Amino acid sequence: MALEGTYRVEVYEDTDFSVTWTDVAVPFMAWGYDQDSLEECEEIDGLYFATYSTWVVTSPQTRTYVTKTGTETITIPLGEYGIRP
Amino acid sequence: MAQLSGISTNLIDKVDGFFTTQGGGASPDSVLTGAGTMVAFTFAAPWYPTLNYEYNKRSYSSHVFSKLSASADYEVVWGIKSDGTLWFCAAEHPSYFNQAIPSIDVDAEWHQYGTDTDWTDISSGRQCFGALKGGAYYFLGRNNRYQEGNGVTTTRVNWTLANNSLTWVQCALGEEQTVLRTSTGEVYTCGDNGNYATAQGTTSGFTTFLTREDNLLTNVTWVSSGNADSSAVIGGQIYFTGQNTGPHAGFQSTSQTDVNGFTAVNAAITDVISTHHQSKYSIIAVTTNGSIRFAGYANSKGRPDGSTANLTSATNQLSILTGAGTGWGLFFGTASDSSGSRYGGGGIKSGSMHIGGSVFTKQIQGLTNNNITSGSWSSLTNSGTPSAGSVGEFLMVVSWR
Repeated sequence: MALEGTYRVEVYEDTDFSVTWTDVAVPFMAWGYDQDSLEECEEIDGLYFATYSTWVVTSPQTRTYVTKTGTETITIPLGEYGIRP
Repeated sequence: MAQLSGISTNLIDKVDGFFTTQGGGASPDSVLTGAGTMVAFTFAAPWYPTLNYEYNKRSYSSHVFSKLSASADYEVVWGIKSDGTLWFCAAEHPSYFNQAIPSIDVDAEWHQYGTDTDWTDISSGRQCFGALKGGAYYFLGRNNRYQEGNGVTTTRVNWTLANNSLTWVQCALGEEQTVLRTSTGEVYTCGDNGNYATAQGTTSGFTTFLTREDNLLTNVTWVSSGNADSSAVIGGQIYFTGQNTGPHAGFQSTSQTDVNGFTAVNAAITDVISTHHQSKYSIIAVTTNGSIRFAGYANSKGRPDGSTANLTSATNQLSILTGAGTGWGLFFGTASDSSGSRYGGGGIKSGSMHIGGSVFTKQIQGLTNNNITSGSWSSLTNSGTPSAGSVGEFLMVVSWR
């Protein structure tokens, strides 16, 4: 079983919305903001907020992924992955 | 300015039939007869000043393709010939492709890419393409959603080897996701996980490397991908994942909930050969006897039988469109553009090329020399045998051998 956690974080005029972040426990995934620009973000009293979702793993998940050098199979233990560093 | 057949002589090398590398072609004022390829772009080509169609027919050439893939976002189409060579035809020059397509070749004519003869498949994402060459997966274009599946988001301005760890036999790129089928009938995906389009058990984030979908399908014979949904075929059954806003997945349910992972939609339907994500609200399936099954919204004459009646109820999803007849083989559509609303498309039915959909009315005008102006589904008259076609956001392309 897998769910998503949703986070709301403050962002700024110089925020790079194309940036993504990774989690070492899930080497085949990355996470990023749901919005592509400041204009898409919620504005409250002059402050801007973006959102992103994490992967909440509630039962172990096994995945096989391929890289340029071969195939890797890993099992992802219970936990929440993709929280912005 | 001197003119020949109404064309300024300084532009005469742009006119097929006068341009020696293009081979013979029809007059720009007539419909192609026999072997060759026609492309209808969505703006008037300036080198055909005598044509006053808002959307011009272009280009006529003697080149024959076995596979075509029109960009979901640009005036660019790639084609593979039966000899395994790769070609492109571009009327604009997106920076995302700027090494694969030199600016000097942005002339709405066909140009060969390289000299390799083992290209086998090609598919358009929104601003990118995927292709297979010698069993390896190659990628071109914008990679901002990890559509290349190689762990980075670097734009590939030229065709770049993405993966040859497995033997790939089919690639299907959606708007922001990639679906690949292996020679052993397994399915790997990458890209934006939104709406479960990648079938990885989550809608969060991106799948950065090509990863086997989480239901571990086997014996898959077909994959397809659209705006934020994807499908596979196993034993004639459709498996669906992702956005189901039609609802169009075919579950015999009116639920519009996203589908979490490739799931068989209707065990009673076992006659499907291929699926096509024509819009974000519909799906088309071609059956073993050449019938068309359809589910979802039918706006803008999206159904190949010309009807605009939706098939979204619990009882009529994936019904056979009896009015469309039988004999359908290949079908071409697109839902990989950002709007996901490209109702219409094309297909090959009983040896004839058929096109339709009022979203593409102007392109249809161009391809039929203004004989069809309504966007209604109709066959294109040609003495040749249809070989391939494709529909992009801004163009239609059809080929005969």
